[in-house]
Amino acid sequence: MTLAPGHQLPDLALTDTQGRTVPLSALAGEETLIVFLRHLA
Amino acid sequence: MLNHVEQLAVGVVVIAFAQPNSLVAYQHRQRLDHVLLLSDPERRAYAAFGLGRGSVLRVWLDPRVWARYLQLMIRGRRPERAHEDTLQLGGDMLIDADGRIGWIYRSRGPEDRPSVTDIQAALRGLRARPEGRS
Repeated sequence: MTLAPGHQLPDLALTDTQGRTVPLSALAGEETLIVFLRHLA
Repeated sequence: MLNHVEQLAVGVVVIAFAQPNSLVAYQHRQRLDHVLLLSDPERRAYAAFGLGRGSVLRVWLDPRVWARYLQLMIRGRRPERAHEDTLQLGGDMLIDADGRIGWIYRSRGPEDRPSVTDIQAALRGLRARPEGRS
């Protein structure tokens, strides 16, 4: 299912630059802008 | 756009599909020390948000893309060789304090990103909704 406005952030686990696992759902707590990049160049 | 997000007064999280060690250098190069950078090499979050891949025609041969690169070069940015999938498209999302998705912008091409003004308008709309307040 594709996420849409009104949905809760899922528990998908990502990795920060220190190698720690960060679930997307952990971003709750403040208004947040999530920017999905293309490639890094 | 990332250089102007401080005006928005919201938390900022940047997700890329490069490996975490590549993100460290990128973070320093782009002076993004104030944002949380997350790596999603399997692109599961990209897929969950419906961020797809563009066609070669749209990503590499569209004049809008070249116009955008030209604009960036005039401002002093030097394009670097990409080591990841250049067809993957990005996007921008606003999340409320309860972790609910309030707004999604899925890019249709490399140059298609919302402006800070667009995001500010979306944020105002989100805050105006009774369920968007926290």
